[in-house]
Amino acid sequence: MSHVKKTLATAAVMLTVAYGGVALLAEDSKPTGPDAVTRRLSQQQYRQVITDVFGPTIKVGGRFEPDIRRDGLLAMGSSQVSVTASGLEEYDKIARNVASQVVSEANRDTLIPCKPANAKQADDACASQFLAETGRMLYRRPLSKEELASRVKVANDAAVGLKDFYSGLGISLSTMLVSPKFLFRGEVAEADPDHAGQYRMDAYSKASQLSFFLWDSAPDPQLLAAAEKGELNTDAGLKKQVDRMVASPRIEGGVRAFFTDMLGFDEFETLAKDSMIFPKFNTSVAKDAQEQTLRTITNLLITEKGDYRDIFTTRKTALTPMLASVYGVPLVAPDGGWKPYEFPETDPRAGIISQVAFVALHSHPGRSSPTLRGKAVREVLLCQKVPTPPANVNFTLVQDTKNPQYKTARARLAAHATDATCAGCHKIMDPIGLGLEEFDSGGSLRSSENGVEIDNSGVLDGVKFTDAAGLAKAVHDNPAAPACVVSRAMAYGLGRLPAKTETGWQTAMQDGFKQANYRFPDLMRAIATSPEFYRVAPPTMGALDNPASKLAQKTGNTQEIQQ
Amino acid sequence: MSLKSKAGLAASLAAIALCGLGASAASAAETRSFVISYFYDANWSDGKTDCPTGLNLSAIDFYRRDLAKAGHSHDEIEAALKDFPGEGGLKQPWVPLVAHRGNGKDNVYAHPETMADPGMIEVTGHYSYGFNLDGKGAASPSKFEDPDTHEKGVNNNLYKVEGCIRSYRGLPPPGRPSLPENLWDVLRDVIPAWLITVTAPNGFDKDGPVTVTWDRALGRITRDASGAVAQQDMTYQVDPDPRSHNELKGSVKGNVVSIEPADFRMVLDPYLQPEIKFQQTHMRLTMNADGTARGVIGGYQPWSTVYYGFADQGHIKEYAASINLPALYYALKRNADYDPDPKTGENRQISSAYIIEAVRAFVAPTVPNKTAFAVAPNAAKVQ
Repeated sequence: MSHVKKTLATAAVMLTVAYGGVALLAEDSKPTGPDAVTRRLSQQQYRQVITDVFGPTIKVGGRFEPDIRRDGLLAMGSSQVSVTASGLEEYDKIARNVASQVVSEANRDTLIPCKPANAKQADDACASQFLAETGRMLYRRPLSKEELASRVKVANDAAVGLKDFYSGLGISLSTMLVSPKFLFRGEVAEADPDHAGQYRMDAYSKASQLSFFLWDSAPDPQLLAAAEKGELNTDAGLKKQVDRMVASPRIEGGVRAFFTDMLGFDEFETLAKDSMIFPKFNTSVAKDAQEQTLRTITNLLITEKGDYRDIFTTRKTALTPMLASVYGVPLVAPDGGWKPYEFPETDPRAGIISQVAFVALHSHPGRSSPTLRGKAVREVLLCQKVPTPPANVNFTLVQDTKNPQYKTARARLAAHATDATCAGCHKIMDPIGLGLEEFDSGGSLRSSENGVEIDNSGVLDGVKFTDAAGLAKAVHDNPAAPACVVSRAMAYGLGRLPAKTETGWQTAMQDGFKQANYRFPDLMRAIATSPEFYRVAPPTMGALDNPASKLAQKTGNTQEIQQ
Repeated sequence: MSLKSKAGLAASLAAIALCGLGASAASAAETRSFVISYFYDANWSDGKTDCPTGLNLSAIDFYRRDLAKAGHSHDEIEAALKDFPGEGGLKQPWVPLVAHRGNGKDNVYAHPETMADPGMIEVTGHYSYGFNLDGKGAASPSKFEDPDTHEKGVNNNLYKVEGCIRSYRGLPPPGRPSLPENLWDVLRDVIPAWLITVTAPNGFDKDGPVTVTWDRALGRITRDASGAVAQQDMTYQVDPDPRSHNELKGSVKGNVVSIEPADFRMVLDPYLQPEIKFQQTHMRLTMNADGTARGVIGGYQPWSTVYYGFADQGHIKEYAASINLPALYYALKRNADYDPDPKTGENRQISSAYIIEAVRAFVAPTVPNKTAFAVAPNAAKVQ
């Protein structure tokens, strides 16, 4: 056991060292330029890669390392995290479980492309074939001879010890799944043959950059083949692949992943509502609410090829019976599944802001919050920073929903804002969030609070409105909204904020988005075909083709995880 | 009109549309639909006056008494009950003993008449939920008064029989008798939901006639976040099986709906009772502004159906709920108060009442060729 822990600890050190020591960077040292970016696979990406490589029958269970949000995105945080020792133990458990399923009697005939001469003995040829093909998909590049030989040796040694070829193969596969080469994706620079003295991102790194951005998964065989042929190093070759990927149904996975990140849906994992106050809101509703918003977005942006800004005003959505009950509308779906639904013009719901996901996520467990909702509109949808409140704020008045003098949130916030230290920030949040007051913390429609009719009027950047639909229109028309999604999409794809030197590129993307009538797939295509998207820092460690192993050799850690 | 009122109106109109009553059918027609969240025996109690002489014995005590009467020795009884109730089900030594405590060979649950009436403490209090089913008012043989409506001569002899059984004793609202609550709580997750739809051709703003339909749904209820009650505003489809459809004429006064006496049937489940089949059915249902509804439905039903609803689980229900089943048999038979057998003169039905707790729901039209209990070959054809 101690050996396992030692090797895991070694591996954890390798993860932080091998990829340039970007782990857990302090806030003030976040990458703002085209420095090398190394990102840990998200939980969803890990799952998707396993599904892509082995099929949906292979289940991925276990606890993943928590992600961190930076500059509004988990994708940004993914370039600033490492793997803890306990986290690596969990990855190891997950890997062993996945590997055991792959080599199981039920799956081996489907997932392993060869049969050993004797299932009770090692088989070099079959192990080599499986590990080379699988390793190429997992590492997102071909394995080097040394890498393959190392993995085959693990498989053979284990097979001899266990007297079972498949068990040996499973152990070798599990070591690949905990390798930093699988768990992390880095940018590898190579000398640019067209520009002497300069460097470019190598084709396999380009393929990963592209695939995780557009599909939220590893490159498929076609993309890897294009990388292998060098096609991604040409404008035409790159465009061909981008067009293919944007046209693929898998673009939906990429769009969903981006908006899941941008809208902060990971916070649903810790979202709780007081069931006595909001009996309709349960875990099913929370799950369906996220899905509803994502379906609304993907239907508009992909299926209908619509204007991004219309996600704030569209009345077309999809509902489950459970979610329909929260909205108080009838929905016949005998199978309990999803049905298209369009809110009538008379309904106060319009766009994603008034959907359950948004209003429930940006509320307190027992009450709504015009402040949190206004803050979310500013920060999430308009990319505007709202200062954090001072530490000594007295929230008693705002929290006292039974105060007979201040019966509505509007009244309580008005009283709270008489404190000059609070007023400054509240005036940039509350007038927005008050437009959503007709939706309670559980997302249901209401007309009054403590017997007082709710006033839904408010203002956003000088645009006055009287209800949620008016707020939706104000956000729709606000130029910061499309600008925000452009900058978020760029940061999401890059794993870093665009550098100051890339301001021109950012402006071009925003202009292009407008010219494309705010079609989101066009924005993704434009980003993915930009040379800037593949800018890479010059190598600093001299270990470009295989950084982990070469650094490991350099630091004396030649032993990979071979437990 | 407030937004909430607008929403409520929208919901009503939507329900109307779903029920197939076009807006042009009657300009002010309104429909309100509910799904039953709880349905249980209407057993009233204030904890004192309902059972002034005490409650019926617990199982181990009436087993000791009954077995002694059946001729078993003290040592034999105590040896059998040593680990009561214990584990192992039928292997427990007391099980065959109590199951044959009549004539020593026949099962007393199937043949309760094989033992003499052990006796049952019955309700002697003044109040009972229910209705004056026999129409005799204060002159009725029943001296019960409904605690809510203060109607005199309420006929609810099922309550009289079971109200002093500890697991069936009532609790002041919102409390519910424990075993009936538990049974429904379990049952509602496996049986189709029950729907009540009230249609007022002239709207609910003024008193007037209504039509009340009771239907079984195709699906089960969905619980809300508390887990205790049904989720409000869910949509249910009606089971077209005519056995599960009841259409009743009635009226609304204020927010209380009542019906004219009629026949009524609910197909349930043997776990509780295979069915409830009323004659002279009465109902009152209070529709609350928060979308909930609470009421009582009652009528005369065959007492044998009630008995076998208890008895089909034999010793399990007897010991777990402390219900002396042969005593229950005799008490139900003794208290039957309707439908005399032309040959024997013995009444075959017993007055009963059940509490309804419901929440607002949308009710959609039936789906042709599909029922909640579809069987092959039709089952293969349904969607």
